[in-house]
Amino acid sequence: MSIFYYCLTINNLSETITVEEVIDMKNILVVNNLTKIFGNNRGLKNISFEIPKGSIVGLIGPNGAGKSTIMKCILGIYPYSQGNILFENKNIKSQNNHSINKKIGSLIESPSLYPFLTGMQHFKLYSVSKSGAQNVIALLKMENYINEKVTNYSYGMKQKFGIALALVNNPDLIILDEPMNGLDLASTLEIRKIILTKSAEGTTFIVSSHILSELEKVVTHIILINHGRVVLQGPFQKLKNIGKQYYELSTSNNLKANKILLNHNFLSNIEASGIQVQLSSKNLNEALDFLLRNNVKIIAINHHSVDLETVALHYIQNKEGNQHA
Amino acid sequence: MLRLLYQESFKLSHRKGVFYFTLLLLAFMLLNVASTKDSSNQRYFIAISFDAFQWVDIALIVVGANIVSSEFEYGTMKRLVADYNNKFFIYIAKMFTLLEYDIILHILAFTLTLILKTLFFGNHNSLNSIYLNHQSLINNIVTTTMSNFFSTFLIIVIVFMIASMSRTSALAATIGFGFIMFGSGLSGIIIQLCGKLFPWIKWNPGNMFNIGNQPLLHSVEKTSLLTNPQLIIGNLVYIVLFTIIGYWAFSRKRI
Repeated sequence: MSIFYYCLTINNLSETITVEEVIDMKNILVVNNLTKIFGNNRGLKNISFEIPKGSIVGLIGPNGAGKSTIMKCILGIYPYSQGNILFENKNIKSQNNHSINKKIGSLIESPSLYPFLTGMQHFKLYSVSKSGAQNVIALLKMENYINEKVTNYSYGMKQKFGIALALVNNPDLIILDEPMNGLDLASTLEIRKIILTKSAEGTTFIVSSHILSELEKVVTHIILINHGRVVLQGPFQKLKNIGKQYYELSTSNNLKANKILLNHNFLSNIEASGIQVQLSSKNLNEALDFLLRNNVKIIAINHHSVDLETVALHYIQNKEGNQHA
Repeated sequence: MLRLLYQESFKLSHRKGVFYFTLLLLAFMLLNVASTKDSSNQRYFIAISFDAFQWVDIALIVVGANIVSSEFEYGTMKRLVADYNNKFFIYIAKMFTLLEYDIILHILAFTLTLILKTLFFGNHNSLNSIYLNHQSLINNIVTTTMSNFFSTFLIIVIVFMIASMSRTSALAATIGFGFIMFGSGLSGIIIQLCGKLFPWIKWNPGNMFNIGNQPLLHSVEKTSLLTNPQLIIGNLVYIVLFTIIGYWAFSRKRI
């Protein structure tokens, strides 16, 4: 397994922050200078990124940013004018589509289903082995309706079946565009569990979703797209550390507690929900010790770090602000 | 390509409409048998297979429009392109699949003609009796079947072309139906009105549909102004032309 440097890059017009991290992972997909322009001058502009094997990459960005276009280019649905896409170190254009598609599963936009066929007939149509079909049916708990015509499925059932079709051949890379759309809570949890399990087994995922709170529960890396360009990419954990982190303390006397912490040079302030203290986990014990020694009882401690939504919003607004300035 | 053909045939065989159209073909022929049972023109109706091919043409228009447009309506075109990355193969595979259905319908219509003739007309109008063009009745049925089969090639490429250009299968079927059903009639009127002024107008695509009738009914040549070999050449030229235009529209359609 090769060891290489993974760069986390945050691009703003005014500043570029690069954080380097050594990751012991092999890339399953490399996109180099990909350009795909549509008639209205919208599309992808010189996009480059790498997808490490076994990672779960969240592809995020506002509507029309180019997320689906990237996915369609990887799948060969859209031809592209410039750049190249390497899948397992081979140019995707030079490979046989059928063999690639056994290695890449996908659900793009809405599930591609024929309403006049049953779920089981879809597996037959795509020449899925009986055992392969049975496994995925059991995994997604679709036994009750798999023999019904797809036209009778609810939106959530269709979505779940679309995910089943993406998973069925045990591909190395699975591309899911808005997989949680229309799913109920139980199904969302099921899909999340499946993504995490498959990823642990070595399957790589590229997941796009507008439900960022859901996405951040599974992603290991994120790629933020805006106006057809990569605005930010890198490991999600690393990215979270860049943002503001704080502890929220609820005590028996918040006013007194805040005064004590300020006297000991901690950065703290009082909010309606409690005292917000900016400190690392290392000196949390020290802060709590000061409070307890001064007879302030600790009722609750909550750790707050930056969430995906905040990160995405911050960089999109920042970039747009800079462009308009 | 073989896998693609298998998939297209699988989908076609599971479309309910295909089954109903086949059933309706029998019903349509039975209706024509009933209406001609006491007619003095029985042999003519047997020779034209109880007009079965009119229904075959309708079935091809509706099913053909559907198998092209529905891929875009259901969003399944994405998967097809991702799997094969060759829209030309996809287009041609669909054409071949419709051609399979076309062959099945023609064999069925021919067989049903013989069965219905035997069941309802018994020994009257023997198949070996000489009828149109100094040929036996069975030869007349074969001529009708073969000439109509040839004429459906143009129908298929036109339906595919319209379906690739229009948004929905219903629209494609309606336009295709109008074009094909009234094409030869309209062409006849145009040729009559300005055929002398513009002799080349007899080469219009609507006139080409006469290939379905002319080999059996030679009198049609008086209105088409083209011989059978000329109609065959014209058909082949339009088949190639409409296939190119249709594929161009198909390949540019947004997925």
